[in-house]
Amino acid sequence: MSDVNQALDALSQIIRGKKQEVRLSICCLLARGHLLIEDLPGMGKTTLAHGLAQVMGLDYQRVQFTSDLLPADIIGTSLFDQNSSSFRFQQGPVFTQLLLADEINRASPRTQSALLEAMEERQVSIDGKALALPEPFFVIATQNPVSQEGTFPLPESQLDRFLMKLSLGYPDSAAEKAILKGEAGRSELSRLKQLFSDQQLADLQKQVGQVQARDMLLDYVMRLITASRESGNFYAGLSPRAGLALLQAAKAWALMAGRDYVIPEDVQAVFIPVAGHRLQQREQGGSVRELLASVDVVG
Amino acid sequence: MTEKTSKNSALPQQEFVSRASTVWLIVALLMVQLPVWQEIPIAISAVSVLSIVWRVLILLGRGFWPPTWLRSLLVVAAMVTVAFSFKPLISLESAVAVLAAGYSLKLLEMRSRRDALVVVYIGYFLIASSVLFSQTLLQTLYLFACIAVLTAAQQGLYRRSTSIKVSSTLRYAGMLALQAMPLTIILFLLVPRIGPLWSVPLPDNSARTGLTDEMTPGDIARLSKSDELVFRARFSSALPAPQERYWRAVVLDRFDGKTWRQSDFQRSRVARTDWKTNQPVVSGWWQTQESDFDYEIMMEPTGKPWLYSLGQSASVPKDSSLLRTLRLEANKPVDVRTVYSIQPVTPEPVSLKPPEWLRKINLQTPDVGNDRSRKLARQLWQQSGNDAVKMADRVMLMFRQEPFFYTLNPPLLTSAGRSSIDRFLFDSRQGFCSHYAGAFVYLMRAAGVPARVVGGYQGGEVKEEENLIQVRQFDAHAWAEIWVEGQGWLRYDPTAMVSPERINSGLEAALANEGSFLSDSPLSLHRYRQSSVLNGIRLAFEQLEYRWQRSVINYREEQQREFLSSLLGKGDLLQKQTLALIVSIAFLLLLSALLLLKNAKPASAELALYQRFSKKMARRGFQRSADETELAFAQRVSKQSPELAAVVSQFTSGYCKLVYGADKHEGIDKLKSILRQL
Repeated sequence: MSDVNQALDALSQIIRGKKQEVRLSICCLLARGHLLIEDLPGMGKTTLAHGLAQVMGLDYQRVQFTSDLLPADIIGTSLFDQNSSSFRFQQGPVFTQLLLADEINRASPRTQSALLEAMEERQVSIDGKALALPEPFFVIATQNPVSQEGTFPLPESQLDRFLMKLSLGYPDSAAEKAILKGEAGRSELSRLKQLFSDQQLADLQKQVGQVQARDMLLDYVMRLITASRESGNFYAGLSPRAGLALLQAAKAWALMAGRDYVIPEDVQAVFIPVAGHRLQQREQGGSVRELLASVDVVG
Repeated sequence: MTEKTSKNSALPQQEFVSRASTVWLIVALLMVQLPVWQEIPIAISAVSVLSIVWRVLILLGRGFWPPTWLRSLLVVAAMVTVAFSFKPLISLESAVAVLAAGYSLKLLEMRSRRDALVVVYIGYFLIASSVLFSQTLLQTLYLFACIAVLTAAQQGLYRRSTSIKVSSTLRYAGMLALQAMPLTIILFLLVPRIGPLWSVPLPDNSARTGLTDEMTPGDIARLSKSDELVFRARFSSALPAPQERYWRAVVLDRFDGKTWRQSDFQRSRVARTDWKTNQPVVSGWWQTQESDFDYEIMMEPTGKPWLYSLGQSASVPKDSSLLRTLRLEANKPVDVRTVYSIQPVTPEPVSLKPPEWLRKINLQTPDVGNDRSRKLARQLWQQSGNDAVKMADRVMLMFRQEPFFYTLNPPLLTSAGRSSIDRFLFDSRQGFCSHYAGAFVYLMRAAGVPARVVGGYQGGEVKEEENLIQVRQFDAHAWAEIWVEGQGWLRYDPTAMVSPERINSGLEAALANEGSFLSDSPLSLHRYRQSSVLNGIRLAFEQLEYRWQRSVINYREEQQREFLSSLLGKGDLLQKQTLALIVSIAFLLLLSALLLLKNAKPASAELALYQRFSKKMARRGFQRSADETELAFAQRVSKQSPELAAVVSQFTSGYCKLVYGADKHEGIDKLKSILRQL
């Protein structure tokens, strides 16, 4: 686990004062989930994505989503090659290991769904041929708060494709000062070294699957899911897929803590990022945080 | 104020009273206070309304929390009101008034769940206390609804979510209340009834409408318009004929020119003839007529000692005495619903000569006034040849033939001073039973015939299917009795001469032309007897109410003994009763335990172990909050009491490895031994 911790330390040098968020984003990566970051422009979303790619040694592509972006701009197009008199597929930016989809909610729903389908299937279909995406394939999407103008909010069904949703928030004063001094932030990205090989990352992702979750813990997860369905504070409760996602994230979190079994702390640590965007709160209803607080950890 | 706000904002989220709970509590408060509002001063009710309106304003975001000085002022105002409204100060009503005031004022400082719980508990108390004032079936059903709403409010305090439907909350509360029913019924039936350990002065009877032992014309008019139940008489024998239904309650034999009263002779203790203990000498003037009616009377509380009997009574029920005026009196005022029965009696042949002192009492008239009446009496006495019966018949005839009118709204006679009889007989000639009975007795006395006014009820509503007569306040009546040598006291009802309908068909028929029957109470179902559907509903409901009163409210020591011995057989009843109580409670507990166990999932050994740990921690004052994980809890405990740190963290880490981890060698037995060190 030392390399995970090293990666964490290195990234924390760049993204100051956001250790929990950085840790969660690594956790998301290890759990093979995609990450959605919702925040105002200029809070360090891109820096985080870039830093993550660099530390993990991943290919990195960035797509700035705009309202006139077309699906082909992401996936790629078939071009006519005059030399060979045949069509040749020109790969789009999606063919990478880490894709940063910036301001995803500024694109039209059609373009959004093209990306989201690729995320789910981990392959794209062009002219009847399925083309596998690279392994690992990790998307970090950022979006502006929905209240901002010119946005197409992601529907719930598509939000579900993201394992976690985070928001970074303003840095604390120490971090702010470090950024102003030029000791942190995007300018420092180039100093980051690659700490993982593809193989190492694949191994870690495999280990996540081997982390144990015993009955007592599954009971806790089930209590949380049941509570979300019965509380009446949300329009709909957590789906079975959301339950699986919660467990997967908790396993990754446990692995990062150096354990080969999940304890309730792990579930609690990832619950809000994993469940928050999947539960739509009613007016006047309690929050996801209250839901978590209301469920007893011990049977 | 600012200090208070900051303190409150430090409260954890669940300690606040949510808006929904507040609404529930206000509704519950309104419902619970409604039955007692008529018992408490209007100013206290005003304080309640003020608190509720204020709280609603706060709820709507338009009000502010009243500062401490204002709340104190309201409390002082309420207490001063109570102090000035009640005499004597310490009474049931004053206590309830204090409770009601406290209940509403508490709303104004109800912010945390703890305050809200206090409000709920006072509410339960107030519900119980409103049973002291009324125990009708409707009231009971209403109080049941109150309990359901209050329970809903209470359990709403523990619900985190605010968007639960009203119907679901109510259903839940109703279920809770219903689940309590079996135990309630068992306790009600089986717990031995004991007399009250203490008693409070009962409601002052001045406010209660009812028959009085004074009769100044005008009194009974007020009564006639009330349809409040007075008593029910259930006959084992045949029902008396309509003209026989005279229910005696008081005998008024003293007249001061204006008012008829009971003379001192029947009030003083010496005059009482306790038939059972005292074994009085059978004297000729006490019993005259045979009575073969066998009946049981269930009377509503009056706060007065008198009991009702059909005609002159002879048999004496328990705890009461027969007075020399041949009426029954309980040994203490009737403050609770009472049941007594009267058996048929055959009088022994006795001499019918009244003692001279009795003659004197029943011949008394004021020395001055009513000269025309005296003159008339002397004339009539001569015309009837000095015969009492003939004289009475002549007077009755006079009432029938001369233009006398029956009305409940007669002209006032107060200006006549001591000659009110003259004014009535010769000028106004309008009145109701008191006027006619009074005038009749006066004329007889003036002629030298012993006579007296009898007050009570006449008629009543017959319920054939139950062989029952139901008497209400509007059946109140006054008539006369005269002494006839050789026959004893004979009843004469001059009102029957003026208005035969009053006697044969009741007040309603008598007032058919006047239209004043129950005109004060438009909602009384008795007004609508013509409508057969409404009348059917009324009769059915009254029957239900009667059953309720008879079997539930009147379930006292004696009834319990009767019921239980029919159920459990004779013998040592108390022992059997206790046994039955224990067995049925044990059965209920077992049943609910089984139901609970069926729902509860079987706890694993590990979980049981942790629960033991939690209990030990709780004893040391550490309570794990729901979302606190085992490790976080252990850390908190270790931090707060370092002496426990080693054992607690050893146990917790072992436990976590046992239940969450793959590590099996940390066995459950080892954990148990660690736990023993705590």
